[in-house]
Amino acid sequence: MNADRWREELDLELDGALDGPVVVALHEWLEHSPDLRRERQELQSVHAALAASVVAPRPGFAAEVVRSLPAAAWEGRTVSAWRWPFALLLVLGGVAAALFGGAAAELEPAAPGFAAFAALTKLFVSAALAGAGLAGATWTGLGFGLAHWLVASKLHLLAAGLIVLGLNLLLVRLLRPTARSRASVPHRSR
Amino acid sequence: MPQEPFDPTDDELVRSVLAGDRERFGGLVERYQTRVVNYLYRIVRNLDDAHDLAQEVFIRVYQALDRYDSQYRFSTWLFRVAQNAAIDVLRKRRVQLVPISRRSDDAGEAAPDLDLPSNEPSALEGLEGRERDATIRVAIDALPWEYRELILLRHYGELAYDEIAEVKGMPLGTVKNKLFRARQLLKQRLLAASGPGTTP
Repeated sequence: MNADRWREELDLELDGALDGPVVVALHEWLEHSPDLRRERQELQSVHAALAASVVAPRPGFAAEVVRSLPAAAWEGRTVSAWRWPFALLLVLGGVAAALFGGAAAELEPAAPGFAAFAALTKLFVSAALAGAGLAGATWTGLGFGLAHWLVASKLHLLAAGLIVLGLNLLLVRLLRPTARSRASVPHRSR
Repeated sequence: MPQEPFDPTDDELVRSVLAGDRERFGGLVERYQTRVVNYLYRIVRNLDDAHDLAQEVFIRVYQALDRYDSQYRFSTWLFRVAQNAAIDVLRKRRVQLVPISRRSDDAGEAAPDLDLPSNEPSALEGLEGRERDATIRVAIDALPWEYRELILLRHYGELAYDEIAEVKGMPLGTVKNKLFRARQLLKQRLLAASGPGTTP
C-alpha cells in the first residue's frame, strides 16, 4: 500500500469509518512512519476544528416548528381524523336500527320478521311517493312564481342575471386551490 | 433502578405522526434540528436564514410525510429535501457557488510538506473560538462545491458515508475519496491560514 493510500485509510479511521484488520495494519504503519503520525495529528486538528464549529439551534426551535405546521393534505385521510365521524355514524346506525325494530314490532306485533319488514317497506315507499309529489309540486310552484317575477319587469331580469353571475364568480373563486393553500400557510416566526 | 427511556426509531415516529399524533413530529425535529440548521447555516451563511430555511424544510417534509418510503432512511430523505431547499435559495440569491479561482482538479495535488514536529500541537489547535470558526468557514467556502457539499453533509449533517452516497447518488468509494480530498484541501487551507510559518 502506498503512502497516499495510507493517508486515505488514516482519514477514514479518524472519521470512524474504518475497522477490522486494516486498522491494525494502519497502527503498525503509524509506529514506523513519522510522516504518517504528523499527517494524523494535522487531520485530527481538521476534524476537531470542524466539530468545534457546530452551532446550537436557537432554544425552542423544535416547538416553534411544530406550532407552525400547517394542516397537511394527508391528515384528512388518517384513521384518527375519521374516528369521531365513524363513531357518530355507528351511534346513528344503532338508533336507526332500534327505531326500525320498534316500528316493525308496532306495525306487525305477531308477524314474523319478514312480514314486519315488508310492511315497513310499504310504509317507506308510500312516504317517499308522497314526499316526491310534494317536492314536485313545490318546485313547480316555485318555477311559476319565479317566471311570474322575471317577466314582471326588465329590472327583475337584470337582477336575476347579476345573481347568477355573482354565484358563478363565487364558485370559480372557491375552486382556485393555489389561492386557498397560500392563505392556509402560516407566517414563519423568528 | 431508573428505566431506560424509550427511544423510538425514525420510522416509528413517522408512523405515529401519520396515525394522527402530530406532536410526535416534534421528536423528529428535535432529533435533526442541530444537523439541519448547521448544514443550512454553512450554505446560506446566516444563522437566522438557516433557521427559517430549516423550518421550511421540516414543513415540506411534514406535508409530504405520507409519501415517505420507509425502505430508505429518513435522514437521507430529509437531507435531500434540505439540499434542494438550499439550492433553491442560492439560485434565488444568485450566489456564486464556487468562489475560488483555482480549478477543482487541484484537489489531486500532493499535500504540501508541512514542517511541523509531530510531538507539538498543530498550528490549528492554536486558533481559538471565533477566530477558528471564521477560519473554518472561509476554508469551507473556498472549497470547490462538489467537495464542500460532501464536507457539509458529513460534518454538519452528520450523515454516514453510505447515507451521503444515497443522497448524492454516488458510489460509496467516490464519496470516501472525495471526502479525503476535501479534507486534504481543508487541511492545507487551514494550515495556511493559521500561521505564516506553516504556509505551504
